Amino acid sequence: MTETEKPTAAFLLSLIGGIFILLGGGVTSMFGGFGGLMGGFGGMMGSRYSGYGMMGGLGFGLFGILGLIFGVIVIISALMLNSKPQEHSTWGTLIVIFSVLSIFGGMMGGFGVGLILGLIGGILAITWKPPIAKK
Amino acid sequence: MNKIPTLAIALVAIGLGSLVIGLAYNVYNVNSYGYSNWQAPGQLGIMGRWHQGSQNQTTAPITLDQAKTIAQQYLTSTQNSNLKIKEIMEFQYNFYIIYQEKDTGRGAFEMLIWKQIPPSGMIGGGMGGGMMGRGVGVGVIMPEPGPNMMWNTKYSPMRNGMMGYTNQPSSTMTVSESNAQQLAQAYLDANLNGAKTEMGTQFYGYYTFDYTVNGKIAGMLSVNGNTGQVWYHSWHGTFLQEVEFD
Repeated sequence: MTETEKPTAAFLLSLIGGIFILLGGGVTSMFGGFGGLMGGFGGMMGSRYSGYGMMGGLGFGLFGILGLIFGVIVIISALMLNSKPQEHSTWGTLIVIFSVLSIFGGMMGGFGVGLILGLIGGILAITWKPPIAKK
Repeated sequence: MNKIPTLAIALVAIGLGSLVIGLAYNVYNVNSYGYSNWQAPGQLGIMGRWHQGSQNQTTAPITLDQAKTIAQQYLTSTQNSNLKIKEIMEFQYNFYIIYQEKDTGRGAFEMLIWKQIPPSGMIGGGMGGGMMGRGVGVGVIMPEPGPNMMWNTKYSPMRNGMMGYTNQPSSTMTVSESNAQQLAQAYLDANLNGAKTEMGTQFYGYYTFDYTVNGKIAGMLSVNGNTGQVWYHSWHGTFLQEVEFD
């Protein structure tokens, strides 16, 4: 099997999408709380208090963890897609599912980019057709 | 028919399982504490929870007696016998509660109970429409924002490695209480003409001082015990009354 017999575009898009989702989850879990608080206060001498900032500050730990898990799953699926193109439907389906679910993973599915790239990559993987072997 | 790889099945199980657990945990905590807390309370420490008390969340202003009850219920829920309520101050927008350590006499942490919806200009757009997605948190006891969350080295849920906070609670501060009071007074002199700092409470990592205007309590501000930074408490509104506990 040569390189051209692999769903390269689907693989690359899914891989990049997974990385974005992973980054989104990481950023959310690491800085979600702090950023939310500071966003609410507007600085050390802040004269405003925002409950929205408070909400952002206190509830995002597991969102970030979910983002990390979904990001890893998309990346693994992309790698498996590349190594076993004959299972493109299975891995493409996983990429689509967990790219969509990454909405729950903080930062709107890897800043939105991960969600879109994963979705496109997954659909490309599902619809990919292996070249017909020459006799 | 193609066989589905075991790895794919495992990934689906892990992904969906974590999603279900996360959502279930979130729903549980919303029902228990009125707060969408995605981390285990134990991991966040005592302050990591919001507690709604026995009454339903309401948009009607709550009374001092109701605030006492909620504060006491919260104290019980901490299951920490070394804590007690030091004082409750009633302000225009919220009740302010100091929890104190019995053995050290030191302030442990500060909590708020919102009694009414603050003006939008004061709190921005979040509190009224965005908090928890379930209306204003009137009657919900929650950690006071600001220094209590960011500087408290022992009880803040954000101290566990977040932004350089230490995992070891530090009881020592490089800024003495008298120096902290001078810094607070300097801030007031520059920003609130005629305001004077009063008695302070020493917490882990910072001090909080009341201040008076024309001899009457008007608000409070905190001073970082290591950097000397001043954080004005802008979220209380007008002071109304206070009750001290033995």
